Amino acid sequence: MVARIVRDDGGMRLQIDGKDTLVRGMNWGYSPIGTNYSYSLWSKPDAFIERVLERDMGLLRDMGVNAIRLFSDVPPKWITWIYDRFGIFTSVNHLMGRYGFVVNGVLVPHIDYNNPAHRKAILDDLQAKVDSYKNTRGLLFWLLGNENNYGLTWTSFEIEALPGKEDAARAESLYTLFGEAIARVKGRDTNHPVAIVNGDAQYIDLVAKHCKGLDVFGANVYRGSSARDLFDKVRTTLGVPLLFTEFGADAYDAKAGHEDHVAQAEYLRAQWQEIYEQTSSKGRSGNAIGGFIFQWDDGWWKVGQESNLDVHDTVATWPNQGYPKDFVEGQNNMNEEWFGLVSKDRSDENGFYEVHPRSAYYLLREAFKLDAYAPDTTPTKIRATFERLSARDFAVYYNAENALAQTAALGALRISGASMDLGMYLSGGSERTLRPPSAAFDHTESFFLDVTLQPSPRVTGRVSFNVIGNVAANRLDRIFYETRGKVSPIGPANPDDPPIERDRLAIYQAELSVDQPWFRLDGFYRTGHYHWGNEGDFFSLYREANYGPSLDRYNGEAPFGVVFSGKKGLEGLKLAIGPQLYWGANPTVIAKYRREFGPAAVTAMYQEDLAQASNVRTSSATPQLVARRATVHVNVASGNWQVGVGGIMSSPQQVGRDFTFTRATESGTGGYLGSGYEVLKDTVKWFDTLGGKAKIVYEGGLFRFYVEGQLRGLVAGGGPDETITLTPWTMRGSGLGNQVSGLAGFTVNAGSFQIAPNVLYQQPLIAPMPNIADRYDPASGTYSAGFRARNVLADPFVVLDNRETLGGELLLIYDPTPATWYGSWDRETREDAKLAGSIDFVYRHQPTVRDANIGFLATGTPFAFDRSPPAQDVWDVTGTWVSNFADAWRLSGSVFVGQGQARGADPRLVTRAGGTARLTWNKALFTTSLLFNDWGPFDYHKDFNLTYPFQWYGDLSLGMSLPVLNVIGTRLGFRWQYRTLDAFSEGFPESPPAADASGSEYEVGTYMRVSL
Amino acid sequence: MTKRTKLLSCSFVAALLPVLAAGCSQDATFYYGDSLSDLRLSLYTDDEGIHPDTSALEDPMNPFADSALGPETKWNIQAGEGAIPAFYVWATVLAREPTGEAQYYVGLNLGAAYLSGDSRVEDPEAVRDQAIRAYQTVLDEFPDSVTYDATGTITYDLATPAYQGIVGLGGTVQGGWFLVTTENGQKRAVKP
Repeated sequence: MVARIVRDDGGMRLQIDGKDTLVRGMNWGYSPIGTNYSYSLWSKPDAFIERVLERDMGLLRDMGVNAIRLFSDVPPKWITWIYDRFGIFTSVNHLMGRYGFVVNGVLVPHIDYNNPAHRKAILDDLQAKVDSYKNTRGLLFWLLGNENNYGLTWTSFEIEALPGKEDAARAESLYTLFGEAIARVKGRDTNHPVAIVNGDAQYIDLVAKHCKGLDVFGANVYRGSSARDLFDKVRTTLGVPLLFTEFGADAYDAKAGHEDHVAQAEYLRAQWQEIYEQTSSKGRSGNAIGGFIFQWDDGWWKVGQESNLDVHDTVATWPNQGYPKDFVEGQNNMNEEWFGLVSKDRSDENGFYEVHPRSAYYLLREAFKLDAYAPDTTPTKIRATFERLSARDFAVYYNAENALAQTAALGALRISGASMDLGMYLSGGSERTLRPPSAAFDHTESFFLDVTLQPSPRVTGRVSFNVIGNVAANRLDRIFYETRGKVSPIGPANPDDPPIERDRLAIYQAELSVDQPWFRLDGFYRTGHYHWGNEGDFFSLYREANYGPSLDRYNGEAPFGVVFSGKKGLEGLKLAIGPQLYWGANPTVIAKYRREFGPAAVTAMYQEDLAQASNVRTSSATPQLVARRATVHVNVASGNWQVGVGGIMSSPQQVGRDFTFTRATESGTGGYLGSGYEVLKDTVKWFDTLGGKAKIVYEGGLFRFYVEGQLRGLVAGGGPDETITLTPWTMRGSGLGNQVSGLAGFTVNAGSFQIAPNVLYQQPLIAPMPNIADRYDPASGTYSAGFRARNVLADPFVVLDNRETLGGELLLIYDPTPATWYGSWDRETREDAKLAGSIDFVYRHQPTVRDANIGFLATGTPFAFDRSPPAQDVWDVTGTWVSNFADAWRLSGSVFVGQGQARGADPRLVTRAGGTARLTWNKALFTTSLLFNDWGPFDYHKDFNLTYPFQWYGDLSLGMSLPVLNVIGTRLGFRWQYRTLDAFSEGFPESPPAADASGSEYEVGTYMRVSL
Repeated sequence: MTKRTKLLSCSFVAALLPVLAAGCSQDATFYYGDSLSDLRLSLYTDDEGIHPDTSALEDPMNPFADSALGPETKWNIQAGEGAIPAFYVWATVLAREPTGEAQYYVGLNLGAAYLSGDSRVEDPEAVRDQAIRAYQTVLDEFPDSVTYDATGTITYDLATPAYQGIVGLGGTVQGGWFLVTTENGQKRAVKP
C-alpha cells in the first residue's frame, strides 16, 4: 500500500494506492474510568483487545472514519488487524520526547532538543520504529511529536493556557530535530507520508526553514468553528497540505454548567465543512486533506492526571474565544475531560466499558457520506450538505441512549421488590380448650423490602429485609415467621407471662452471584439450592435446600453458604462452604470434582465439618455429628443402560468410640437382667467408616427398571437419596450408615398410563438398642447398668430411617400429556392435561423398633426421647391430580389415608386421612385442607404424637394477577381454620368435664398482600 | 474384556471391598453387673464432679458412666451404699443434667468419703478440697437450688448445708456468703 501527496492546479490531495482520500480521522484511545495516561490497552490479553476494537472500530467504520491516530506503542499486528477487519488506517505517532524520553537507560523528563545525546536517542528510536512499522498493512502516516513546541519552556504536562512568549533558541533545536527525523524516516520508508504534529502554526517559519521534505503539516488546532487563515498560511509558507492532527470541541458548557453535546456537534459540523471546502479544487486554499477529531471518548484523567481519575471533572482549564458559546471574558471555557465524541460508562470487572455516541457522531456519520473528491462535490453542494445537518436533529439519539445508561447506572442499586402483608384474625375456642372462651382479635403487619446491588452485569447481590409491626398473639397455629424472637413459641400462651419483645428487623433472605469466565460464585442465605445428586453426588453429601414455609415457621437460617463452580479449565470443580449449607447441617466445606472419560463419569467428593451446629431449632433439622467424608462415584452410560458404583468413607472421628449392642438369647429369656438379650460393648473400627453402593438403570422406552444395593458400615452415613429414578416413587434409600439395603422397581407405560411397582429391603448391621432398666441390688451391693435407645446426641450411630424394613410400593400414573412430566415438582402449574393424576400404595413391614429421635424442649433445647414407638407395619395410600377442566379453571390437589408413628416415643399408631385442594379461576384462588385424625402442623406435633380429630383450613383470595406457585403477588383474601380437639390434641385441658369430651377452636381472618 | 468393562469392574470391586469388612468386629465384651463394695475413689480429672465438667462420664472407675440411670437409682445408691458409689452416681447425674441438687450431693459424698478415713480414698486431701469446691459451686452456680423430701412436696434450700459443709471441712466460704440465724433460731446462708 502506498500513500502519497499529489499536487495539481486544484491543490493538494492524499492518494492511497492512487485514490484521492480525505482523512476522516479520529484520535482514538481506550482508558477505563479510574485510569490515566499510563493505562495501556496493548498490554491486555488479545481477546480483550479484540473485544474493545470490535466495538469501537465498528462504530468508527459505521460513522465513516477511515483513519485513526495512535502513538507508537501500538503493536503492528493490531494496525493490520484493524485495517483488515474495518478498513481503517492507522497513523503512527512518535512523540519525539514530548513527555520525556529514555536516554542511555535513564528517563529524562524534559528533553533538551539541543542535547546531542537526547537527539540521538530519539532519532535512533524513531528509526527502529520505522523499521518495525514500515511494512505494516494499514499504516497511513508517520506523525512526529505532539505539540512539542508547547513544551519548550514548560515544566509541566498540564495543559494550560497557550504560551505567551516564544523561546526561539529552543525552537530552533526542536525543528532541526524534526528536519533530521523527517530525513531519517524518508530514508527508510517512502510509502507513507511524514507529518509533524505542531501546536497550531507556531514557529511555522522554523518549520519551513528546517523541516525539508515534510509531506504534510500536521497541527493540533483549536480555533473554534473556523481555522481562518491557517490553510492559506500553510500553503503559502510551507507549500504542503494541512492535516488537523487534533481539532474539535468539548461537549460541556462551562458557562451554563452542564453537558452540551449539541454545541460540540455544531462546532464539528462547521470545522468539517471548512475542511471539505478547503480541499483541492474547491476554489479556496486547496490544501486540506482532512483531520483527526480530538477525540473518541472522554478522558476522565485529563484534569489532575494523577488524581480524581474516577471523577468526570467539569473544571475548565484554559480559555479560548474561538468557542464563543460558553466563553466568558476572564474565565476558562475549555473542558479537557469532555472532548469525547462518545461518553463512556464505568467499566465492568474486566475493564470493559460501554460508550454512548454523542450528537456529533450521528451528525458526522451523515456528513461523511459526502465524498470530498467526487466530481460533483462542489462548494455549493458541500455547503448545502452541511447546512442541512442540524445538530439538534441528532441530539435525540444521544439523549435517549444517555437516559438509558443513566437508568442502568441507577439499577446498580435498586429496590427490586417490596411487599406488605397485613392480616387480621379473630379466634376463639370452646370451653374444652385452653383458649380463652371469648373471641380474641389481633393483627399482624409484616413488610418485606428487597434491595438489589448490581455493580456490574456479572455481579448481583440481593438482600431482603423484613420488618414486623404488631404480631398477632391469637393465631391457632402459633408459630410463624413473625414470631421470631419469642423465647418459646411452643405451647399454650400463659397470660401471666410478661410480653416478649421481638426482633422487629431481620434479614429475610440474601443471595449473591458472581459470574466470571473461569468460575461462578453463588452465595445464599435462606433462599434455596438444589442437590448435586444428578452430577455425581452418589451419597448425597450436598443436599437440596428448598424448604418452603417450614423454614420461615422455625426461622431457620438455612441454607447459608457459598458455592464455587469452576468453568473452562476448572469445569467439573465445585466447592461449597457455609455455616449451614442445608437445614441442620454443621458448618462444613464440600469439594466435588467430576470428569468424564468417554461414556464414564468419575466423581470424587470430600466433606469436612468444621464445627458442631448450635442453632438447630426443630426436629425438621436433626442435629448431626461432626463428620469427615470422602466419596468416589463412577457412572457408565451406554445405550439404554446406566451403571453406577461408588464408595464412601465417613466419620473417622467416631473410630474408637464405645457403643453397646445386644444379641437375643437363644431362648428369648434370661440374659442380661432377664431382658432376653446379652448386652455387649464394642468400639467403632476403621472399617465401620466405609460403605459402598451400586445402581443399575435400564431405560428402554415403554419398559424401564432399576436395581440398587448398598452396604454401609456403622458410621458410613451420607444424606438421603433425593434424586428421582425413573418415576417419583415414595420409597427411596436412606442415607444413613449401619445398613445393608436393596431397592428395585420398574415402570411400564401403556398409553397414558404408567404402572410402577417398587420394593425396598433394608436391614441395620447393628440392631437398635432396646431399653433395659438398670438394677441395684442392695443385698449384694451390685449394680447393673441400664440401657436405652441410641440417639444422635450421645451415640456414634443410630437406627432410624435405616430400620429393618421390607417395603412394597405400587405407583399408578395417568398422564395423557407426558411432555409436561407429571413427576415435576411444579406440576400444579405446569401440567396441561385435562386430567392427570396418580395413586400410590405403600406398605412397610417393620418387624423391629428403631432407636430414639431428637425432640426439642420449649426452650429450644434438644433432647433425646428415651425410646421409640413399637415395631409396627404401616401403610399409606396417596392420590394426586391436576385438572384443567374448563377454560381458566384449574383444580389440583391430593388425598391420603394411611398410618403413621410418632417421631418421638409415644406408642399410639395414628390412622389418618385427609386431602388438600387448590382451585384457580382466572385471578381467584381457593385452597383448602381437610384432615382427619392427623397431626397438627408443627414438627413437635408429630414428635409428641399430638393429633386433632378434625382440621379444616381454607383460603379464598383474589389477586391482581394470575396466581403462580411460590410467587408472592398482590392479593386480598379471607382465610379460616377450624379444628376439634380430644385428649391427644395440644391445647386440650387435662381435666375435661367429661371423659369423652371434645373441644373446638377456630380462627377467621382477612389478609391483604401488596407486592411489587 | 473391553476397556470399558475393565473400568466398570475395577470400580465395582474397589467400592465393595471396604464394605465387605464392615460389621466384622470380634472384639465385643459382655456387660455384667458391677460390685460397688470394692469401688475406689480416685479423681479422674482435677474438675471431676464440679459443674460444668463432665469428665465423670469418661472415668473408667465410674460404674454409672454408661448406664441409663433409673429415676430412683441415685437415691437407692445414696441410701444403700457408701459415699464412694454415691459420689459417682451423683457426679454422673450432674454431668448429664446439671442441678444444684446433684452438685450438693457430690460435695456431700466427697466430704463423707474424706471424713470416713476409708482406705479406698486414694488422696484424702484432694477429695476434701474437691468437696469444698463442690459446695462452693452450689453457692456460686446454683444459689437458689433446693432438694425435696421423699414426698416431693417439702423443699429444703441447699445453700445453707453447702455453707455448713465448707465450714465443717475446715474451708473458707467465698463469694460474700454469711450464715445468719433466723427468728425461729434456724441457721441460714445468705448473700446480701
